[in-house]
Amino acid sequence: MKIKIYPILKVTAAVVLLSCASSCKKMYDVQPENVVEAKNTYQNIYDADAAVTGVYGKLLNIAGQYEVMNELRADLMDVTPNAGADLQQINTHAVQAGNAYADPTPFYAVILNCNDVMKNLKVMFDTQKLTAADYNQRWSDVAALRSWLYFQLGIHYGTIPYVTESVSNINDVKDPAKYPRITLDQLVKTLITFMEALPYKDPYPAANSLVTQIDGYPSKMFYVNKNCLLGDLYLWNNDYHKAAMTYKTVMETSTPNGPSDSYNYYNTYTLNSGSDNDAVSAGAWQTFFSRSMQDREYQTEWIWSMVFDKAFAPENPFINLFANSGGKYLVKPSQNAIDNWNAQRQSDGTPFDFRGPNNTYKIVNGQPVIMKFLYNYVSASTGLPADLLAKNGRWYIYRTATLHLRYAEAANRDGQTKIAWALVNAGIKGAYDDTSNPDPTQRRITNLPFPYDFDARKLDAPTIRGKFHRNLGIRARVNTTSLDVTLQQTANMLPMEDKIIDEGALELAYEGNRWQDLMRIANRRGDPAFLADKVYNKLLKDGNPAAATVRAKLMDKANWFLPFK
Amino acid sequence: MCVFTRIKIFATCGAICLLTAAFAQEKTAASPGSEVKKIVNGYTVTGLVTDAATHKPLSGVNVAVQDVAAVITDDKGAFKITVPSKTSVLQVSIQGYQYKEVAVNSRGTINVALYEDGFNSVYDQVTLPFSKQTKAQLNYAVSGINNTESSWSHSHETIDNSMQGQVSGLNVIRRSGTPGVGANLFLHGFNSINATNQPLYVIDGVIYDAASYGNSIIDGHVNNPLAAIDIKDIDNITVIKDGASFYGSRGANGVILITTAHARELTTRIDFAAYGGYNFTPKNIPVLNGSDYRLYLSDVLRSSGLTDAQIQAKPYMNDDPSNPTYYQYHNSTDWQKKTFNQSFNQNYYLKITGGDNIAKYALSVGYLKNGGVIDSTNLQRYSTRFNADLNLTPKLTANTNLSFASSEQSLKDQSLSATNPMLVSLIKAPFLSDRQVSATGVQSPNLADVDAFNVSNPAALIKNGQQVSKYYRFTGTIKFGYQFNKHHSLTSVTGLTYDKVRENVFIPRLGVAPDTLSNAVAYSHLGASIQRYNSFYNDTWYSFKQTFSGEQDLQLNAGFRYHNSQSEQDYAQGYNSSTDDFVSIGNGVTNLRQLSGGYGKWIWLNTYASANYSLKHKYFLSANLSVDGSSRFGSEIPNALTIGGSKYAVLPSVAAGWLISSEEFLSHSTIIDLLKLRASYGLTGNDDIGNFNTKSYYTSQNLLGAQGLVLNNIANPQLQWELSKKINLGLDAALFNERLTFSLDVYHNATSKMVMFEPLLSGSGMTSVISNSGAMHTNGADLSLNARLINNSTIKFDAGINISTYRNRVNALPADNMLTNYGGATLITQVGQPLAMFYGFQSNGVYSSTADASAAHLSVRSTDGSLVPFKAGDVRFTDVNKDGVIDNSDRMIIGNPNPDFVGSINGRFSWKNISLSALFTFSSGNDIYNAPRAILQSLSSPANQFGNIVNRWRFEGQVTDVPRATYGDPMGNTRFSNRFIEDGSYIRLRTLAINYNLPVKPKFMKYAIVYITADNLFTATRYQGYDPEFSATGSPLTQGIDTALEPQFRTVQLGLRIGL
Repeated sequence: MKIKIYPILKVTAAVVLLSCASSCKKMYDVQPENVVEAKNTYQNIYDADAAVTGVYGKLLNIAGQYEVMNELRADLMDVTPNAGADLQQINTHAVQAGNAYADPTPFYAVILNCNDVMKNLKVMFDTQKLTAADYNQRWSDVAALRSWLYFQLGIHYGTIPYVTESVSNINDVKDPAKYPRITLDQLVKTLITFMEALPYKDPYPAANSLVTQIDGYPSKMFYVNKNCLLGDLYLWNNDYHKAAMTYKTVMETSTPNGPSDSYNYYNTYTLNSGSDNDAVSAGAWQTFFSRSMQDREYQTEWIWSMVFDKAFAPENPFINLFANSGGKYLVKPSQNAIDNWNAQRQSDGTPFDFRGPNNTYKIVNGQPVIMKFLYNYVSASTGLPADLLAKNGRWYIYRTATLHLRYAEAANRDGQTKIAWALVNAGIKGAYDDTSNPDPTQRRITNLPFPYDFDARKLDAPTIRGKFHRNLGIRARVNTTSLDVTLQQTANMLPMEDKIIDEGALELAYEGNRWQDLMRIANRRGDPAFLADKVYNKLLKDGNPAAATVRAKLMDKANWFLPFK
Repeated sequence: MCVFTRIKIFATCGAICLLTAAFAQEKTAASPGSEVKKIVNGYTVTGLVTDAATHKPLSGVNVAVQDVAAVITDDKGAFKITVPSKTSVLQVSIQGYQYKEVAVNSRGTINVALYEDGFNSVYDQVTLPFSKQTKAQLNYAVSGINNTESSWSHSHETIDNSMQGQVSGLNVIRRSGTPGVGANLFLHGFNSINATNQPLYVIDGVIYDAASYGNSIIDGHVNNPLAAIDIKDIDNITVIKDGASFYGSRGANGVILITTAHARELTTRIDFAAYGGYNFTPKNIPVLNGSDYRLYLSDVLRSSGLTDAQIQAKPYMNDDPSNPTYYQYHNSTDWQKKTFNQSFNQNYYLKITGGDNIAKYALSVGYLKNGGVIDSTNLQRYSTRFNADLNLTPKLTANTNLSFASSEQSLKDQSLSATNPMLVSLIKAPFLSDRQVSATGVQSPNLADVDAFNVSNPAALIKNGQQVSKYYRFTGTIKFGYQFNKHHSLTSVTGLTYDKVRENVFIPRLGVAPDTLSNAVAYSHLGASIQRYNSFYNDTWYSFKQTFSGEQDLQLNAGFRYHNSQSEQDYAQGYNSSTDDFVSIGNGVTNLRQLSGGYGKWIWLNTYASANYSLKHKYFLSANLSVDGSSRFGSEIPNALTIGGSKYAVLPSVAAGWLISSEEFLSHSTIIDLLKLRASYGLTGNDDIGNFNTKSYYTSQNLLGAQGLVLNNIANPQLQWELSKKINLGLDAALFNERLTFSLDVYHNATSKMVMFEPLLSGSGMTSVISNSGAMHTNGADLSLNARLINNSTIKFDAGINISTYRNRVNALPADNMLTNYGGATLITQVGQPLAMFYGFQSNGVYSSTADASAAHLSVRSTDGSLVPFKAGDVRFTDVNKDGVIDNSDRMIIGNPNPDFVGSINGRFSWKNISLSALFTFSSGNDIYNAPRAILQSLSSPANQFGNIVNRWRFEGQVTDVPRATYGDPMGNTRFSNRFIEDGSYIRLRTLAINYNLPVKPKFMKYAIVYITADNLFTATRYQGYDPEFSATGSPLTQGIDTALEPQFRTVQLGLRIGL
């Protein structure tokens, strides 16, 4: 009955409405006035800039999750009694459904916008609303950020949907074909191809309108470094030479400026103490995390970092994670991490590494507190905040030390173990200062082709200042003793690689690299125990009864990944 | 552009109407003989008309057959009339008596007994969108309320409140006791989860949007646009309960048609009324007194780890009068008495009606000031209305309805907020004073500051806090009618609405516990908000009426309705003005100021056609068709009518009625006056699906202070109206000359395409999309029964009962189940169950001893992952999944907020000039979550507690149902459980009214009536809160959750009404 009546009704209705058909379509097209409808955006360069700004604004939402996934799953971070079920599950690799820290949605929320921005920038370029340069720079930036997010997702979830189309319509959202799933290996290869093809791989040039000051912070620090990411992808894919070349390109970022721009030229990403001096003090090392983003010392060390400011949303997630005053104190340094620092020696023989106590962590009110992210919130001396609610802070993602350690890893695997040794220990000038060579102009220089060409010479007659004359090894910069000199030998490539990873624990703890580093090596060596043992040791030292179960679980590579829901 | 489009629409639609009219003209021309002619082969009927009470004959009664014949009864009440057929209907009317229709039904003699005017009759007229009809002829489930008399005795009520208990199937739940705040109405249960469940209001032919756009910045407050209408201006109300599809995609929740009063006669009449009333404070909730509280306090502090010595050292534990703080902590304050205040109502009203043949007018002005029971709260309203009827030419008429109301309301924060003085007064330590107390015990006039437990001083919230809402609404309606001839007419109604709510909020620094924002401490709070709503409405239709030979009546209507609405809210919140004297928003600290708002605009075009056909006055058939377009509908709705690229909702309905009592086999029944069976089936819709969800749009995203744009939503171009299919079967009967009448309806409402937040895959980057992915149905039955128990010339006694029941069941959801949280309660909506059931923990007493507790082997998991076992004195929760740990997976359905049945009992007794009427309302079987009691029985903080806390578990082996005091509640004894679910059944004497008609000399004045009325005189309930009736929002997901709103209170009023 219904079937018979319906067409009649429709015909009747159609006749009645026919005459207003022409005007009706426009009539129902009501414009929202407090939001921007899709068709009205992406009209000019300001819209393009707003789109990129929006993507980075959204990126801040994943900071806390990024930190937890990359550090708590590895061996340097442990939960406190306040942690609650979600963090405990992450810590013991037993994630259950509904765990907020294991939800990939916030990552895809940024990816959704990346895809949308990329699609629309392309449309703007095709319709001559953007110049080629403006288009290439912005499109490449957003494309690289998306790749970085996917790489993170791949590392943590294994097989993931790789969505590159803009999905803003319900029909697309429900179409399973729009969510092709690929494995981590496939993903890395796909991303390498994609990143290699980017039309623009450098940082935004100073003339770009996105390089500006935002509320007193230099925005150039906020954007992803495409070559660092590409290098990391190569390294993951065991393309060591390509990785080394890409990392070296980043180290040479300031080279086109020439020596006349002396501070930048000699200091940018060369790993130094800011002057020709050999080591930094404990206090100076701390200033990498506490000093103003405007300082040149900050800008020559940091490649990518973002800001949480008390005046703006979102709220700094690190306060709740780390601080025991003003925060919830959910995580703390593992005993394993503390032991690592305590096992080091200063060059004067003191058993101590100042990167650990009172710098990376501090005992505040009797509790070990991870301080790295809190220096813009608490007083460095007391560990207590002056204003509980002034939750300023940074999100530290990539810096020179990260770059040098990754480069060292690539060089080591590429047959350049000595260069790796040099960069980890006392720098090129220390390792290549061949006093047996009578010609001082031939000392402190590697005389190797790119990417292993380092010039660390510093001579007054004739006046020679090598680009890398201020370069220090990671260890010499903080005044710790050098590693055994035999590790320079190519034959000791594997032990050297171990040391590079160990150095990462000391230098880069809690900066979001640890899980990636452990997994990369374990993966490369086909040795799950490399990863499993480190996590086991952490849990064991922290007295977690699940330690053995977790080790057994992590011996199966499939269990390295979080469940993708 | 917009104007041009509008003109185009009118032009085209007008053209359609004219074309149709021309077509219809042609048709009538082709069928001659339809004009009234002399009755040939008539049938003669004789009879007698008497007064039903005195049995005396009535002379001068008009007895008529519509458009055909009319006679008047003689001195003996007798009449003789020739009617066209044996199935004709006699219309019997005379001023001062009821209107009645009597089917001839092959009878030669018909005796009619009439009741007085105002008698609740099955022949009462009800107003429908295109006409007035007697209830006896209706096919639809419709109830009418003739407000004339009762509105004068309930002068302080709002329209929505006044409908409580009046209509079966309409569940009116008053939002709170706050004057003017109104009610949430649920007609035949629920029809939607996320869209509105409130019926559509149509006042004088124009849709009256009674929704509140935007949120009040005053906690727990809702602006009620219906409060802008003075109840005494209302002539009648019609409630359409089934799927009549008169209003297409806006009618799913039923339609309430309200007609305001116009002048009835040409002579000038002046009505004046004045009322005064008194509001009683509610009964206190029992809380601990000073000494019991001190004992509890030391218990709870001890459980926090303090030693006895440390506790004794606290200033409030000191018992030495020489101590400087002794007097500060040794008071006995009844904080509830400090918060509640007896208050007064007053209310004045003047109405003048009159006119001449060309123009009639009704002008009314009103003022009221209703006090609330929370100290310093009140509502003041001025209202005025001008209704006019103009006969411009013999064929062209015009009617206008202009009304303007403006109100100012002083409020206090309500709901579960730390600034709700009512809630604070319950938890405030009784040994403190609201004033500062010196070391020698002298009270200062200054208010006391926040106490040692960081609890605000309720007196500071009341005296220095400001929550003011200013509201005005203008509605103007003009209606033109053109009668081409007896059969054809064209009518057009145009309405304009301007509505504005302005709110200001100030929470002072002194005496109020500071709040913590994400980046600052808020010592004082300032807020300002403006909500605006404008609309333009036009309804134009063509009518055709024809009576055919063979006793057939046909009425056709076709037209369109256009509604363009716009709403906007802008608000600002500020903090920390320099002193409590700076109360306006501009004085807050600059970098803490937050600005926000919302905007909505939507256009709705409804094209409709309706046909009513009756055969022999006993078979009735109606059909309606509505075709709706809306800016809210998507452009890719599957299987929808498409015209010019836009999608339309096609919503038809049919209804049929059979007047069994007009069949010959019942013609000589002495028992049955009227027996009618009716059935209707219809599709209606709900267009409350959001304004812009069909489009993809961008919102602002900051990166520090720089603003960027990000995608806000997943567009759903398939988004459509919710579809509501309604089947209704009804039986109406009048027995024993209408001494007993009843009406029974059973219905099945099925909502499909219900708007839900459909969860999305993580890979999409959004958590949900708004889609039409839900379905549910409601079955129910309504009964209304009225009887005249005593009927003689001096005493009349009427009694009636309305009772209705419904059962709701969810049939489809985008996910297995849906959990929602409101006011501390968790509700589950799952397929196969009624929507929104309380979902929490089952408790079963308290562990009396350590052995008892350890035998249960139950624990909770603490934040460090360890298991903490329950101890003696903890609540015994049921371990549903038997894993030994009480956690979220042990939740179950612990209550149902839906009532088993609701209804009312009314009675009216009149003796000579005095009449007494009473209305009882009741609700049975509904569960309530008593959230304030969950706070008052938490036993986990220094907050004052519910009286029965004295029975708390204190020693090994003690058998009690009140758990031990544990600071911070580590075991979760206060978790959402059936401990705080209570039976919300109640029966209440809702109103009691006595009218005394003073004997006056007609020369001096027409009449004078004294009213004594009382509201909420008594309520029988087991509910332990202030009152079991409240409804925080109109959503079905929040019903039955007590969020500490101002309770209903008892009011007594005295009023005088005189007519000149």
